[in-house]
Amino acid sequence: MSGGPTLQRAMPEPCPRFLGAASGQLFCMEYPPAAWTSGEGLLIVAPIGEEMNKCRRMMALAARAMQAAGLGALYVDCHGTGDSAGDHRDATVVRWRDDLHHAAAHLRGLGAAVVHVLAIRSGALLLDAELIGDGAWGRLALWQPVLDGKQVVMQWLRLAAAGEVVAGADRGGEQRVRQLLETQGYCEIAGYDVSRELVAQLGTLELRQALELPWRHISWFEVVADDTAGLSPAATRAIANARASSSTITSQTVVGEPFWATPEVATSAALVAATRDYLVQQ
Amino acid sequence: MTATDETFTAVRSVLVRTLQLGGKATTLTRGTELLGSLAELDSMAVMQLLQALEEYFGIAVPDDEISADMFATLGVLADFIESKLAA
Repeated sequence: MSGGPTLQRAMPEPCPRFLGAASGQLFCMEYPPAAWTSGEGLLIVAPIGEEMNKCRRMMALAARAMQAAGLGALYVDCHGTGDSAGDHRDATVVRWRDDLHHAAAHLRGLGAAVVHVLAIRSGALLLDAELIGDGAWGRLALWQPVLDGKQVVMQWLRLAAAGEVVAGADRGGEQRVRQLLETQGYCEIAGYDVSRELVAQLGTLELRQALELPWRHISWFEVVADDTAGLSPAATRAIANARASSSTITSQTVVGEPFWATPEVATSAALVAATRDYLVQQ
Repeated sequence: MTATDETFTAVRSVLVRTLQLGGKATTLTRGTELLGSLAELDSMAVMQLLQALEEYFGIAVPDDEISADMFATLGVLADFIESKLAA
């Protein structure tokens, strides 16, 4: 091609690949920068369950925005989800954390000595002390984080029971699901087989634990209805508590739709831009 | 317990956002019937609405307190949330 002398290096295409993790083939989407020279990279951690599907578009938009700004990014489908190997029935918190450790190690192998994390919703509950391995902890961006694993469990149990409520059936649907988990060891909830072990482990997770990890800084992003709306009462309390235990944390509100829950796939360009500006600092 | 205007407005806002009712927002009053009248409110939406309300207000609604009755009207739902905030 006879282009001019100032042709810019084209941005590499996103690269799907499988990583060989302990729990099987782990599907990974890699968004490499033009060059891994900054020594930094971003691990994007998806929410658990159906919200992961709702957030896929936003994850891809965020990864591309970071890539374009020179910050390489990647995300994986944890065991038994998306395009990765395994059965959702065999998924546990321990296994999912192993997958994230593996993803972070892969990112370090690409040249990211400093690993930043963007955790979406319940994905933040999966972050643990072994995540970064021998790399350096970077910044943590949280998108509308879930405060407690019990909320995720509650959501599943309700999903199984909600049909009965609408049909005007008697109460106690959640109790029946719990009994099934106990006797059968797993239960199908909205198309996913969920094991008793996963439910038990999720119930012990709290966002507080992720906030206490040695991040350089934490930014909590909340999507609100309009400019007049502030942080929700629940987030305000959680951030005050985190500050009291000396986490360096700030918050930012962005006007947009609750894309992780809306019936139609929604996106927020403003949230992506604000997160890029936070993670790609000069 | 009757919901304050502040609580009612917040509950309405959460409902409108969760069900993507943007255009209908201003027509929703305390007397607006929900379950059985609002087409968007199917079983999945009921679950998501409850979850969104819990997350926003930082409350937990036990299984045995959930019933179709609490989704009768927007006012009834807001009153229920007010009672949880006071608890």
